[in-house]
Amino acid sequence: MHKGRRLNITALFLLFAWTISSCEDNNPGDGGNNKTDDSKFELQLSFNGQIDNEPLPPVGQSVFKTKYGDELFMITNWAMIFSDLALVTEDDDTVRLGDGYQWVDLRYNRNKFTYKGIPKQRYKGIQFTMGLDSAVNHGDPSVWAADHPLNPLMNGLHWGWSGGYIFQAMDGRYKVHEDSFAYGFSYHTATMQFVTRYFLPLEEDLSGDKHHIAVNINADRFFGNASLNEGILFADDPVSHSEGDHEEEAMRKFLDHSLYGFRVNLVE
Amino acid sequence: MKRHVGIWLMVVALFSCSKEEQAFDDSQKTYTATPVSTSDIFPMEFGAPNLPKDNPFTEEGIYLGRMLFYDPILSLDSSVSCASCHQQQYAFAEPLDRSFGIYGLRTSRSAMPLFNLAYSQKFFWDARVSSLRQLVFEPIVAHNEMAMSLARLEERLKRNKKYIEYFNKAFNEEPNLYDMSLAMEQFLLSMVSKDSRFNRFFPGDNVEELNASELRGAFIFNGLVNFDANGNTKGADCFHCHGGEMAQQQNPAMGGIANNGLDASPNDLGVGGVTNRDQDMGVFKAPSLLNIALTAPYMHDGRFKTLEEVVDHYSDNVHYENPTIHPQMAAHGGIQLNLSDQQKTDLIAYLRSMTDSTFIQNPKYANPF
Repeated sequence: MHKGRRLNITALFLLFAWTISSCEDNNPGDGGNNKTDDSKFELQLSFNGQIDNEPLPPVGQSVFKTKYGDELFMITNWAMIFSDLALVTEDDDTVRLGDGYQWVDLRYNRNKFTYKGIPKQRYKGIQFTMGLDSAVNHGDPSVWAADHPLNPLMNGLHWGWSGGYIFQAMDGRYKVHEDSFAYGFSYHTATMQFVTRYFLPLEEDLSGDKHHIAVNINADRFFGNASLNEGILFADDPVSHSEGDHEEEAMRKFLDHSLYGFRVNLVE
Repeated sequence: MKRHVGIWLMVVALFSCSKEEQAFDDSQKTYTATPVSTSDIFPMEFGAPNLPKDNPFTEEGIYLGRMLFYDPILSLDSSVSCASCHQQQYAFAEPLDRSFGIYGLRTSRSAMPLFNLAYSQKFFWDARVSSLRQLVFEPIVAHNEMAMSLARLEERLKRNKKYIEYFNKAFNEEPNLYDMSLAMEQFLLSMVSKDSRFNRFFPGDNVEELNASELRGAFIFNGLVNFDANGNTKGADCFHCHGGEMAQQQNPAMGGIANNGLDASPNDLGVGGVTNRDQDMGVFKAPSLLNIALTAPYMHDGRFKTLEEVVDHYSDNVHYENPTIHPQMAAHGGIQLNLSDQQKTDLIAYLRSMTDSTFIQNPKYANPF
């Protein structure tokens, strides 16, 4: 009798344990498969705004920093739209991160992203395009889901009137010297001629235990290199919206310099 | 005798119980609220709004929210409703620089118009609130608006037959403050203005919608400031803060909240009064310019009575010396735009094309009582 009851209890316990384990297997969100896939990893990707190799101060604590031409500047807004965001393999194949689109707001901390299911292999770099292809740029912006990076209601980076997105927006204030009035500056990158591709080499291997790429973006580099005595002066060019001869020339300089503004600082 | 009194009391008690129970039973019917598809509310051309996922639209929920919006019992002395200061004929603003609350008390700022709120991320002039369900409580408890205590309001709703019925229909619950805020959120989110001539014109495809003056105004509104050798500019760069289909920048960081140079130094701290950050002093939410011809007076303090005064400000009187003025305004080198009389006339004509007369007559938003 006692033995029979013990057997029943054991059977009930096993049934309970099986039920629990079945529930775990059917956990929604992991596709019903909770097994770890050792051939893949989760990538953390962050973009970090900097001035003079130091992090942008938190919102509300902006301070003026020196840039090319000894002008002082502070940034109040800095956002970018990327496409073709991907890791590049040794064989020059690409592994797209998500759908390849991302909206990065360096001032308001929309700058850290997680990508699951990345195949473990040797990657030689990360690539992205600041801007969009023509079809997407001039397509209907209302098609994007509410939480998609290209939804203009979220990113506020669509021109609307003339069509197309603003690929990069940097706004702030500048002084020509410490005691001068703080004027505004505004560099907005748009139109297809200013779509810019970037490739950043990864010096460390992602296939091991290091799964975090930190991309530092140095604002002062976008305005020129003091050591080469060549760059952009806000006193001459405080604004570029990428249209008109003068502003197009300023934007071309800005983007040429931007190639030196991105750097992979950390793979951990 | 005593026994008789006792029996009578029991009979009375039984009757009153059964009466109560009758009413309670009626309210205990289980209703299935009628779902409303978001595609029936929000126009495709505006794009997908980021809606609260835990408050699906229902006909009953929207209707309950509308009842509450128009009902003065939300105020302490039952004299003021939301609709007292947000009147449909003025695109849910009102023609006052500051509103009147209970006992004739005044608010500190003008009432903002209410429409297309589903697309906004921040609410109130000082952008202090991020959700509509949170927003609705602010005027209810403000001493100079409705001055109501929430406990008293809940009791009042619970004693009201029509609210017992409608909370039950919408949420299968007795009246309570949480569901009240959800119902009002549904109603406020459902208020969509999209049928102005400007909306039919946008983004510039249907030029036949506008007359010549309005079309010239469109180019001024959407043109960048670029001074020629004579110091004239063809564009006034209004679109950075008031661009897009809704004539409003939705992202606060991209001009959705900004200091537009009203004063040399701010009298009203605006967003700075909330964040206490230097850079936010005198900064306010940039409102939509849809229905702008209906929402005078203008600015947070109603200082401008006409659109002519508004355009004069941006053309001739901006305080560029204000330390928190929006960078894009300050990027003009502190030079006034000095628009010509013709440019001002055209710009105002364009602004007037943004009036949606169907919105202010739409019975879906009208007083249900």
